[in-house]
Amino acid sequence: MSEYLILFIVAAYLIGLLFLAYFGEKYFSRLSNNGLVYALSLTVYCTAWTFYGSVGRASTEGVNFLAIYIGPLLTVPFWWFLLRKMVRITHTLRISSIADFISSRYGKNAQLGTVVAIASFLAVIPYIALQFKAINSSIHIMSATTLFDASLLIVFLLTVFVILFGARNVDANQRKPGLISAIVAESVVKLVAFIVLGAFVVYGMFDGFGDIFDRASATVDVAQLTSFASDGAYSDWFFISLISAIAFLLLPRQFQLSSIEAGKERHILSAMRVVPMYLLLINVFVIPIAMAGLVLLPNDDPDFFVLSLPLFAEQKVLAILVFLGGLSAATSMILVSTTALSTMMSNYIFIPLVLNTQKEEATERKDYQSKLLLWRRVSTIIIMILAWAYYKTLVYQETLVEIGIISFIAIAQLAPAFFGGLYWKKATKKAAMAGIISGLVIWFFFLVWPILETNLLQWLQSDASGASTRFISEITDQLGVSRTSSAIILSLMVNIGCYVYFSFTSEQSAKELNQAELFVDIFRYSGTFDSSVAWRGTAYFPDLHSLLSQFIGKRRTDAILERYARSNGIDWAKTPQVDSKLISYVERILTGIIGPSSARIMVSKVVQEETVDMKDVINILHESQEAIRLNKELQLKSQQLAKASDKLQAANAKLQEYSDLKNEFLYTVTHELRTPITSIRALSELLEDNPDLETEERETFVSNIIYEAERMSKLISNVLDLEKFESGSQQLERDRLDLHSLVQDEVTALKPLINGKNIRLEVEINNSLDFVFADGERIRQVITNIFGNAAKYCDQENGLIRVTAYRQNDYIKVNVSNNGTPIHAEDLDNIFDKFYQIRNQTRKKPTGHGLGLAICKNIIEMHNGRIAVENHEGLVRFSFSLPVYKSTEK
Amino acid sequence: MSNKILIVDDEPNIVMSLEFLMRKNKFDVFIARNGTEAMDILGREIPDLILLDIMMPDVDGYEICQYVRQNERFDHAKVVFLSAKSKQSDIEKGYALGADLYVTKPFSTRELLQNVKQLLAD
Repeated sequence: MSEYLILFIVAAYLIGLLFLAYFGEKYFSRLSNNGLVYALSLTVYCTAWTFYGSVGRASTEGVNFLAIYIGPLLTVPFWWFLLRKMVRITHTLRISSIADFISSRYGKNAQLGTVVAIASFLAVIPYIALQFKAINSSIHIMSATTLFDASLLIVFLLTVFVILFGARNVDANQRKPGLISAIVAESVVKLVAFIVLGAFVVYGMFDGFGDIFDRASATVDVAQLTSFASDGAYSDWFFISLISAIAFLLLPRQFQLSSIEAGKERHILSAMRVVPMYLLLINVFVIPIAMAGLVLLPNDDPDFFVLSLPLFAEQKVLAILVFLGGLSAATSMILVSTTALSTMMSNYIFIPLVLNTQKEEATERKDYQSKLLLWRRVSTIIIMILAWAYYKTLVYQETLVEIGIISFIAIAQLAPAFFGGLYWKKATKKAAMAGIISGLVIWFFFLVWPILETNLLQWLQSDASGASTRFISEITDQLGVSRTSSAIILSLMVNIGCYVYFSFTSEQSAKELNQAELFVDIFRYSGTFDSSVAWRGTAYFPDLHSLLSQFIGKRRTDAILERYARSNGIDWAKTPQVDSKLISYVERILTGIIGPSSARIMVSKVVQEETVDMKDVINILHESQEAIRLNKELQLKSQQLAKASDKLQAANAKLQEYSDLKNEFLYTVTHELRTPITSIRALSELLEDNPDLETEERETFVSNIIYEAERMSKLISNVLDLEKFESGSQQLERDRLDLHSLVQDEVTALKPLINGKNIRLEVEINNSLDFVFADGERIRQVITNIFGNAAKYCDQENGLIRVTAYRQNDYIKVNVSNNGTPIHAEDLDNIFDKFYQIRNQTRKKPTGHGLGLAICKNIIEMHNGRIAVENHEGLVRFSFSLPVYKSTEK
Repeated sequence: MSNKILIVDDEPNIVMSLEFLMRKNKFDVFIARNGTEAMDILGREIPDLILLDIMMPDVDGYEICQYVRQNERFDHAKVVFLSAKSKQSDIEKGYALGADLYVTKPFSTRELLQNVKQLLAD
């Protein structure tokens, strides 16, 4: 075929795609939101590498080619949990690339995002270059000439496409229906082309599967085609499946379509049915085609059997269809990958540069809106040019499959940080960084450096094999697996090792903790995400407004903020100060445009952030998250409160008791005062009303009035005394006191009282009795009282009062016994209580008021002595003890 | 015939003044210096009016009042409490037990005399 015709077909097809995308953007946006579209878009996984390369690989290595499909298929059952979580996080946090995703998980760290972006470039740019190679090779086969290079034309058309439909909107998080409609169309084209070709080969060129099999077995080793090939293939099978599974989820183009462009979470369920079916259909004819190629065209390049077979059969239309299928596979991959990479490049290379250099005047009003799109478009051009340049220099040496695998292994280095971050809260930023970088270093050393070294040696025209190649061979031999498997094992082991080690040895910052919590428990948070805890601080409305309009324009800013104000019932004019909820909201809008770390930096410039320490974050998280635990705490608190209230009640009861005692005391005092007053009043009135009283009667009345008045004053002074002792305001004047002479004095004073009564007084006190340390006046008061009681209560017919005193250890004990009626047991306990008067005294009314003994008890106890009453040897015995005087005492 | 009045109190000076007052006004006066003595007198006499203290060491005034009110012999006897107990609850208890009057100490002899005469006239 003429190369111009081919060129025309390529140009026409790509321009056709542009129109399709244009209409898709305009009319398809609603239609594109369905499960089948989502599922088909995921098959961008099948690139030119698989479209052409599968047959090539099957021809040389048998069923090994299936490994890159087996891996993804094995992950399908987990999509509902895994993919849905990715989608939920991506949408909730307005994430626009895998670099955003990982950086956001680890505290919105910009460096980590940059590392992920660079890893993506290293992995994907050669992969894009591979697509250019596939397209160009297919053109060469179609036109049967190798002189022509159409790659620049394709680069140009695809760049235009990405600029128009990939980098269309400042908000990279928004869905791109134009792009999606082109991708879905291409998915259909590549599947249809491959199946039509397969059917033609099997049933047109041969007589069914059996025929191919028979004829192939005659010429080639069929067993080799249908089983595992060379040594170590089993381990290759396993490891390639593993990295394919990772690649299906984490390749930037896959992440773009599966997470960012996802419409509804339930579309994942459709994808779980459609994607396995698609992968099955596109592989059904791989082995028959490979066999047919080996039988009919043993000298052709197996990578392009799919083209050379229809050409050989002179089926030009079919050949063009297959060519377009290959072109679709290649271009769809380039379009999505470039879109994803350009977002990362502008968010993690350009914006950080701009933010860093413009720190000072960042709050000034600037129009980032147009610049952002410009940066993303420039990024697109740079990526295309880099890929094209790579294709021009290095790609000649490698087969299609090998570059694809190298790309997969690079992307696999993101897996520990990515999946670990989804399920393990403790993983830290440092760990993610260390894991990714260490894995990439090993990847580079095993898989990239040998190629560079070989090229370098060739350029130097040296025959020596490279030192690193030899070193790698030694390691590979030790492991007993292929170089690819060794690279996978070593890079992932070191990666995971670093990740785990640093997660346990490094600390999370508050921001990291916050994000880790959010990612791992996204399903719990996404519903209530508006009450985000990400910001604690205040900002002013005009600042946020101007910040937002720099990125999305004044009109959209007004619309967004007005909607927010309406739904939250806020009037900006009245409350210019905004809450953390709005700050988080603005940050999320910006995240969709410039990525999480840059968004955070931009927002932090207008927010007066309060220092958030670890404790705050933990507290806040617990508040919003662990309602149950909080509930328990509340219960505990209320129990504590109940306890405190019990204590208060007890204290209150005690106070009430004291108050009651006080009232009781007052009542008793007034009651005791009433009695003498009654007598005084009655007698006085009688004196007044009866002026004609006899002198004798008059004198009796008057002397009784005086007696009652004395009784009252005695009561009053006793009450005051007692109050002094009980309140502690009574001071003792303690000194060396001769108890012997004091008792003798009191005995002398007692004598007139008992004069005329038949009372015997026995005093047994040694005059060598030790001194005590006491207040003489107070002790005299005690002795007077006890002597008075003894005289009052001893037997009135034949009375006996006995006084003894002696030393007992460090105390002097004084006993005053009388032969009165023994005291009841209940009275023994209470006799020293104030106002206590012994009941059932049949003989006569006591003349005291029940305060004397209470005062005695107070006095003795203030001296650290003891006072007691007992029925002892037929006598009632009052006793008290006082400490002996010591020379050191003062 | 003069009315019989029983005075029950353990305060000698109060008994002395009440005795003087009542004799002066031609009442037939009986004296009890404590509850036991009061019960003795009630065993043999039926007073028209009892002046009754409450706080006494042996049998208290409430018990005596209760005894009097439970005994048909004293149907016409008036009971007047004379007490230093001035709480509302004590006063209510006194009336509940059937007292005709409750006078708190200190009292006026003039008012008391009028009240006594009034009660005996009813």
